[in-house]
Amino acid sequence: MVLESEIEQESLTTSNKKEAIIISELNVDYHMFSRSRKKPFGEFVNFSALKNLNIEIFEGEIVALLGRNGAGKSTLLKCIAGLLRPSRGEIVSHGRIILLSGADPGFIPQLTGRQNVIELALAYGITKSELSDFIKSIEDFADIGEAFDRKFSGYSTGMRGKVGFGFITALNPDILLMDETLGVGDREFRKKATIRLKEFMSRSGTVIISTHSLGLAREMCSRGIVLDKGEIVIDSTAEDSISHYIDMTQNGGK
Amino acid sequence: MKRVVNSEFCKEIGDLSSDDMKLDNNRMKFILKKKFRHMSGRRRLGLVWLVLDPIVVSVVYLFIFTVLRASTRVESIFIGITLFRLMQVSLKLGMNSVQDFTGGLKAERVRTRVLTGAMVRYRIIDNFLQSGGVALILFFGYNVSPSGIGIFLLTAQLIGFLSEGVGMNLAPLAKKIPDVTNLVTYLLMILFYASPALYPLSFTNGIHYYLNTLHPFTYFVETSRYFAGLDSEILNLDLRFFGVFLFILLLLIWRGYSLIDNLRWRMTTWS
Repeated sequence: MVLESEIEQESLTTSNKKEAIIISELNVDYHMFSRSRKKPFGEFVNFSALKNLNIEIFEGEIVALLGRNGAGKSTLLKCIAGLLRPSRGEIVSHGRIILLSGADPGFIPQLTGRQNVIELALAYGITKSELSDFIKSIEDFADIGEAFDRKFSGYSTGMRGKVGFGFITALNPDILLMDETLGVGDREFRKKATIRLKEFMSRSGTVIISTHSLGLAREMCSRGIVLDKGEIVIDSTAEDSISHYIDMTQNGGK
Repeated sequence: MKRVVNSEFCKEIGDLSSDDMKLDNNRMKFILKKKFRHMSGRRRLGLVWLVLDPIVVSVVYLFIFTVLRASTRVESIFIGITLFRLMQVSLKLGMNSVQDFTGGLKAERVRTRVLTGAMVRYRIIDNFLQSGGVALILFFGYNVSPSGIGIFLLTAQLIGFLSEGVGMNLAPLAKKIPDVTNLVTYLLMILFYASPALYPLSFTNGIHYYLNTLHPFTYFVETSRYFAGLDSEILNLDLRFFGVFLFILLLLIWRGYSLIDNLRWRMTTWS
């Protein structure tokens, strides 16, 4: 009886959910210049990165995008963000989309960390009244001391990553797309970054995270999509998709 | 906000709110500042170089003409060199305009109207900086009339926009076949010597005169010289040619700016 009502509740919730992203028949081809002995002056060849993807993502879902390097994860995220042109198919999305790829929202080397944060904040839609809290949250998170007021060109890769990651995770998108972002900084920073990332994900409406961190995917995501050679291998619960992915990578096949 | 992405476009559906407009305005300012910062780089004089550049180049050519004992007026050279350099720089910028379609903001797509708005503002300021210094020299040093200065500044704006427009039309070709950039560099070099940038048109005759009349730049520079009270052939030229050139160039500007959205979209998957 209890189980039946739970199932009923579940189906009701699903049918009430609004679609945040609808991907239909998505194909992406890259046009790459190639030179060979037969074509000494070169030619453009097409490389198919995504093939016939159909995905519906609902508001509030946290989806893990899994797959080997070159599977098409980053291409898919860039396409959803409107930064890459599909060769066929369509994506319809609802809400503001932020792509967290690397940790550089567009820093200018000639400016200090603080000046960069101020200029970029306005360009990313932070209002003047929100600005001081916004800066403080990044300064506290990055924790790079007086270097925050030094020129950005003199920052180490780790320092750049800290300020960049702090900046992007302080924004408030409706749809958040994340592409392998925890690669920067020391062990302590990664710990801090994971906590901040979780806060960010819970604050954002819908999240798609492309990751090789299966622990993060298992902990945070409700759904998992595994891509291989530009095609969907499995689209299921996070747990099922992770198991399939592990199986796929260990056995070397689909 | 609903956004549709397909092979033809990336479009937001619905009207922009006042917050969106404000955001776009902030983004235009950001892109504009970034462009000028990039131009000035770590140079101590920064943007002053934009003002100094046409003056210094003109002075160098003046020196050459003095050695050659040519009787070219200083004002004529200043006007010719400045307008030609503006044409050169704007054409190249137009060709590279769609290389960076992010506008420097890497985490979110920037609307095309932001990129276009920033480009237009940048062009106006750049045109003014590149011609302003020379205009001051002409006014204070050579007593060129205010109307002559006005026409010179206006011609500089026109040449800047027209050249950028032509450059934008060449952008997809240059991106697909980078060799086009080399060809344009050589073409500009030929056009520099085969145009009345260094000398007034009246110094030429025969085939040289005829070839110069086929060059749109001739009409702009000779008009500017005429209003500055200098030796000019503009009244002896067939102004119907000028009208046709101007019409074609204006069409290219319109085409260039209206194609930005399409170009930036198509180029995202080219590598």
